[in-house]
Amino acid sequence: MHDDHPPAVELRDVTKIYGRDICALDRADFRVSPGERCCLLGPNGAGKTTIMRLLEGALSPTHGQVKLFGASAGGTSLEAKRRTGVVPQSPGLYPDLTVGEYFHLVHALYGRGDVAAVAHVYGLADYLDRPLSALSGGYQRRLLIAAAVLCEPELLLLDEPTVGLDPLAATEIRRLLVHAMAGKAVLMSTHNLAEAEELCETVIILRQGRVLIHERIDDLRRQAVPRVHLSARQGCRALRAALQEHGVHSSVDETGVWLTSPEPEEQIPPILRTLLDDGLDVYEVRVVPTTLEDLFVAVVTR
Amino acid sequence: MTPLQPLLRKEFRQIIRSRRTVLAAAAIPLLMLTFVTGGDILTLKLGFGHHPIYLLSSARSISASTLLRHETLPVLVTISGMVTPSIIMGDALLGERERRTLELLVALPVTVADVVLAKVLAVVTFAAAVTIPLFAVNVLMVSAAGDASPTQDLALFILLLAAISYAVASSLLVATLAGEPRAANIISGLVLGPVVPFEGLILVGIPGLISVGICSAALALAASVALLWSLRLLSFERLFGAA
Repeated sequence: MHDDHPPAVELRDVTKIYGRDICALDRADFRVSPGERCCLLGPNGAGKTTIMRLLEGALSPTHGQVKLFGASAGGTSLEAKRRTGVVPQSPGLYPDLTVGEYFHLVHALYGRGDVAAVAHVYGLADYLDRPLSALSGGYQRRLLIAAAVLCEPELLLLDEPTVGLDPLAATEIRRLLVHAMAGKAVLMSTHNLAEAEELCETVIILRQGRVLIHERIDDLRRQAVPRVHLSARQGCRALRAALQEHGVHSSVDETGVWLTSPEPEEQIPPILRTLLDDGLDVYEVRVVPTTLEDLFVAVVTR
Repeated sequence: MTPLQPLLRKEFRQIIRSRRTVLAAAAIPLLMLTFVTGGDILTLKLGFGHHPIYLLSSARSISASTLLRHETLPVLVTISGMVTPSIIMGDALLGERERRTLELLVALPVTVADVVLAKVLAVVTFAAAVTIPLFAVNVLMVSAAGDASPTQDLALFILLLAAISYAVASSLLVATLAGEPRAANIISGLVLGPVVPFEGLILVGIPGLISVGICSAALALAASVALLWSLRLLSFERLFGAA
């Protein structure tokens, strides 16, 4: 069957074994559709960088197929790769090429792009004569993102784009990524769950080289039960004892107690009324939506 | 559009700008083809070479002039031809891996063949640009000493080209086979080290110009084998040292 719009990224039953027996990916199978912004999450050694390198064509799968826009990622045709911008994870930068020369190399290889405009947008216009390795960490990352978007790609592969940056530089890079990712399919590997939530709408969670889930972050969040934090002047123990008396299960931390409540709007007001009637001075009730971090921990420790 | 042209430009820029590597790569050919040859010619002119020399490794005696032309010069030319490309090629391929700049290159729309071909062309061009003028100076020096032989000059020139080819092909093979720098050094020593002693045996064992031809043919054959072997194994995964 002929497909006019193949997935931007497709891994079909991919296994990657390094050396004789180090299995980095174990029958990984997923697709990223055109326009989908997807983050790749997983603990260290889960196979995130291996997936990125397979998609770059830097590695070949031991088994299975890795495709960009329906074409083999490691093939000799560069058509699919010319539709893809890649931000590698902390690569070495040439000490003997300037920013301008590197941009012109990228421009020549992709055959399109406006170097001056991209250098201006990414704040690199004043650094065009500087050697790549002489840029600071934040500016090196700007350069990599600028080079990846220079060719106006349909797909962006981002391998831990803010890793190793200070919080200010990371915030600035995230701001630039929002601009860079607009209207493109994105596959972003990251350890930073807040960043994943901010920039992506779907998530792939990996563990030990296996794809555990590939879902919309909103759908995952809907499946998760929100938690409610309560604090009372009488302290955590008294609060917990009162809840237990009314058959409500809770857990204690330093500042109060935690309950899980699938429908907090319906369930919490009666509980609160009961506690106040019992003479407990409840001064805080806070519904904490489930974060991607909670979901991630729940999935990988399942 | 072919990626070769921009990649070639990048390689030339990098070679020219890495001054220490360039100096190291040019120093030995300069030393061998001018100073050592000049010293040998001076020694002959001062009269130290009038008596025949009996070589330990050969049953025959040869004149000092023949020793220079048929046995010393081919060795000097071979070393000069091998040193420049092996240093530059090693830096261009293994250096990219060690500095992790290969990751930057592999992110771009290029094939491993584009990357390697650009490096090979740049290195061969640079090696030729360094060694051929020095070889010309060497030819002029030997001719000026009164020992002109266009046939021998042509044979030595072919030997120079064969040595350059062998050094490039074997450096490519080393980069393809070696997973890490120590292995690269060992393999490099194994492929380059035996060349001079092996050549010495041929030059001493077979009299006349034919020995230079045999050395050239042997180097060209070894270069072809190394090149074909490299091309069969070549992949980004190999260059990353991950295979």
